[in-house]
Amino acid sequence: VQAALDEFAARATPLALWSAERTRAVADGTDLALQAYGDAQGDMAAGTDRGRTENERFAPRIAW
Amino acid sequence: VRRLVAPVPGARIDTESVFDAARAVSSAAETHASTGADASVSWLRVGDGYSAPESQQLMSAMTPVRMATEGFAGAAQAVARALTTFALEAEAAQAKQVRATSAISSFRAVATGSDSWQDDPALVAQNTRLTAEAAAAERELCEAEEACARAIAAIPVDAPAPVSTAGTLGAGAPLGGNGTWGYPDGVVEVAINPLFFLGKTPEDVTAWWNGLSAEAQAAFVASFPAIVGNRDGIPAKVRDEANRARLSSLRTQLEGDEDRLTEIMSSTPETRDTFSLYGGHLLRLQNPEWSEAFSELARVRENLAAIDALTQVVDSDAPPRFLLVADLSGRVPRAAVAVGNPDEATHLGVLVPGTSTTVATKMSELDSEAADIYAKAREQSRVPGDSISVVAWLDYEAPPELINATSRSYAQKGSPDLATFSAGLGATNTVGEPRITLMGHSYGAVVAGDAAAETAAGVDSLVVYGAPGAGSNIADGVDKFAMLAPDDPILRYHASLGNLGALGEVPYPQWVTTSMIDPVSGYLDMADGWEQLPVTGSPSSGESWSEESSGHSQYLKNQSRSQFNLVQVLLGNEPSR
Repeated sequence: VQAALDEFAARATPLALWSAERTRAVADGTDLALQAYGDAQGDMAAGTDRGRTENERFAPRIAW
Repeated sequence: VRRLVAPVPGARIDTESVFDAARAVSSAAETHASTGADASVSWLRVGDGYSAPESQQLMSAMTPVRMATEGFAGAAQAVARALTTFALEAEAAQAKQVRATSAISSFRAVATGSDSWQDDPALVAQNTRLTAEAAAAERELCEAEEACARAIAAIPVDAPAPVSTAGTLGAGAPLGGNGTWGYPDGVVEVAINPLFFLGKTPEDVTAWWNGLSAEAQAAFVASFPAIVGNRDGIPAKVRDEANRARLSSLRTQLEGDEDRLTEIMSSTPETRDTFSLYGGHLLRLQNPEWSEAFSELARVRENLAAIDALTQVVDSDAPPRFLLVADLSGRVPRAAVAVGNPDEATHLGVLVPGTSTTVATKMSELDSEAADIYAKAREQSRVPGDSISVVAWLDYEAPPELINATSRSYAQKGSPDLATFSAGLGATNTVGEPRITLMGHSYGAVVAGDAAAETAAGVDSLVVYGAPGAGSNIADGVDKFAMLAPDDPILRYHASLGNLGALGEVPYPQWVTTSMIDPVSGYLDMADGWEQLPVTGSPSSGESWSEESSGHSQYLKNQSRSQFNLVQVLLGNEPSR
């Protein structure tokens, strides 16, 4: 059983690492995206120039 | 000689440890899967509010993450199950061994020290039975062990997804490629961040694009055409290549949708329920599935018709066409096609059409008007080295009916996109500062005028014809020209609503309708800074341009004075007054 477990570990490790790395990348990317999303909403609510650009350019594409 | 049954060794499998190991593996698997699922789900939260053309591709990029974490977790759970099964079977086998142990100890106490038990058939039988029992228990234990090992060995583990040439993100590359997921550096971080372009001007986009390696640029075209295809600030050739590639995949997708929706509609009754009301009236309740499929099918077919129209236009032989925008993600299809390479043009014209124009119904006509202007401008050009490009721009939702054309809202939505588009033409132009002329017809004049209000749009001239209004606050330095046929029914709009200014300033000083429509006349507020160009009679410099444009929709008629003037403005020449 131990030998089978060792053999399984050898086979499954690449997938485990691959999926963990991608999960982390997605989570990081999502954090950044949500941060930018929040900032953009803040900019727009505050009526800054940047917010105006964001709104004009992206409002039709992003359902705020 | 019979052998006395051997003493049973203590339980050699610590089943509690096996249970613990199974639990640990199972909980690790669960954590792995839920982390992956959380990442996908939190991403989808962004997706809820995000509907760019590339969103579908971005969402599908998350699928491998979920699949890989689920795949690993599934395999690990199978290991946990195999270990649990083994622990249970080992426990049962070892319980039998324990039961045998006490019997064997008692028997051995009696039998040891004398071989006389061999003469007692009852004791011999007991010895045989106990030996068999001990052996059976041990065999059971071994079998359980072997079954567990076999089960673990048989658990399939997917390899990390192989490199895909189909270009789906994350169908991906092995670990340790050059950049993330095997894409060149600088690709994935942009592809997975839906807000990367937020707040970036076309000039920023051009600078970003020029800073990418050739491999990264190629990866965007091959794998993420939706990200670059419609993006202002990306070179025209790149947009064209990406968008042409997208047309065929979009068509395949839409045809699949059409089949699916047709199937739903044919297998779902239109009516869910019918009630009789007072007076014999019937109340019919429509099946929501049918009704959803019905409206979705209409949208799908509109998009397919748009693809047909675009395919026909971009496949025109000469001059070359550049598919700068193909956007089927919104309520109506939107597109822009350039005749001649805009990045190499010294003189750029952008045709902005008006009410009820759609990609499916109008792109072909608008493209041939653009091609005519392109040809006439080349013919009229007096400066060696001048090069022309004329864009048929339908990248906005035009008012569907004349009745909607009194609202500014369509222009409010469309003009920022036109301004950015125009700025993008300037950003990617390789000959320096191109001369940009916006040409707005009818409601398109409102969109073009409002776009020309943006200094960043870099508009040099604005020509409007048959305009109900021409937007407001047009930027300083923009040359403004207006044309109006004496029998253009848009005069009725001027008479009724012109002075209210709902569609911006009216670029004509007065309205005088002729007998072709109700003969009424009046004055508008003087159109400040607008130069009126005639649409009848031939210009002094060209006798052959004597075609007159009449009504609302002949301003671009070949060899007409209005077309002549449009061409002169495009070329930066003096128009004929």
